[in-house]
Amino acid sequence: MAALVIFAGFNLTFFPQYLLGYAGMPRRYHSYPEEFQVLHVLSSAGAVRAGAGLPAAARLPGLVAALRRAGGANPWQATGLEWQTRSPPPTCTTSTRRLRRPGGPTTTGRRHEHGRVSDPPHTPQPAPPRMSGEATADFGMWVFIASEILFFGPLLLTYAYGRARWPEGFAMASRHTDVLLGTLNTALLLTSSFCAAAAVAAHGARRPAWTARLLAATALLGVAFLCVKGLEYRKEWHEGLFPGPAFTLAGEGAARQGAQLFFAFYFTATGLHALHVGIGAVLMAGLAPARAARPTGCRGRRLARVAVAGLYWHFVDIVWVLLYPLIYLVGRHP
Amino acid sequence: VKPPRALQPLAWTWAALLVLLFASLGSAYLPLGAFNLVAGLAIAGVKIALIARWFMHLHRAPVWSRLAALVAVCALALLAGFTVFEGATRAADPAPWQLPQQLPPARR
Repeated sequence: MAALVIFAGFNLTFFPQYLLGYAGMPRRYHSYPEEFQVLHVLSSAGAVRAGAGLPAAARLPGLVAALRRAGGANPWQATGLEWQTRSPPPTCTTSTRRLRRPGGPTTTGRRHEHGRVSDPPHTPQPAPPRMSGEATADFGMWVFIASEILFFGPLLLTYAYGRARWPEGFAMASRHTDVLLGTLNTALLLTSSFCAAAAVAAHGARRPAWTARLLAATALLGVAFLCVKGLEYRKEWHEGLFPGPAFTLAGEGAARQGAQLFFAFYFTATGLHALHVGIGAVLMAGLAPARAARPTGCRGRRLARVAVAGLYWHFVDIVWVLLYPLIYLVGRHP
Repeated sequence: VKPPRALQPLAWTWAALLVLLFASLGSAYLPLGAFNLVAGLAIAGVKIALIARWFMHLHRAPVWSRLAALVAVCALALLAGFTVFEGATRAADPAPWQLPQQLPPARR
């Protein structure tokens, strides 16, 4: 039902737009000739209809959950050993990692059970490759960071492009940023990154009190960064540096255009970065309470949470390390 | 209460990062011409390497994690190359909000 409503709504939204495009309507204007009005209204109606389908789709997860509850752990009354567990199966079933060599005794945990040792103890056999909980979490975070590299990378590319085209405009605009606040913020973020790395180290050394302290310090420094950034935005807004009709930076022609594009980049890049800092601060503050920092649960998961949050934080720091010279230091010496 | 000993190399890294930050700031005021940007980016590169090595422990990360980072950087370099090609072969038009007048529709 939801699929049908959304399908119909989607087509009703975009088909009129194809027709409009075919009729020669230009895009991104604020007023249009009357003859396009009917198709515009049709398109809007389609969008509303597609939106109306979404609440119906939102009920799907609940439906799936209900079906799963009805099924239970063993819906087919199978007798195989693999069905004699909960559904979904528990993820963390041993407190120590067991490396079992094929055919050999386990290297940790209970070994030599029933006195059965089938192989001589020194048979060189490779351990089966497997990922621990830590490695899986680490890999997952690095994949996320990879996607973030491809998210922030093009932003830096637009900067490089703009600077190559409008060197004077970019240098002039850069001179109007607040280098003092920028440097202060860089120092704050570098220090917070140190705190995050120290928290991971303390966590690995089973020092929960220090872990909690350092995580809280990381979050606080992140909040301090955001406060400084807010002050800076306020100052720039009052100086008329926000791109648009009220842009006040002196200069003519190409230099003025370049300066506007610099500040468009500045607000986009630092805004997105600030969003990342905010998310990271919430993450760190959430991990900081002693309950989260105390070493409980299985080893992999316990280590992974703090370590993965640390990785994210360092990446956010790296983005700023790149933004700092590009925004604040370019053109300081004309 | 003594802090864990593992914090020591991290503290040195932090000190090095701050020294580099001020070196970067100082270099911006020297009359180096185009090398101002080069110096700024080179120092940023050293800082990133320090963070990746000592804070993120990239050298100890599983091979899949390192591969993920490498793939992202290579993909970015590829896309950057294409962007440069495209930028070099196009004329620069000002954005609509940079000019007060509005272009007429293509057909009425």
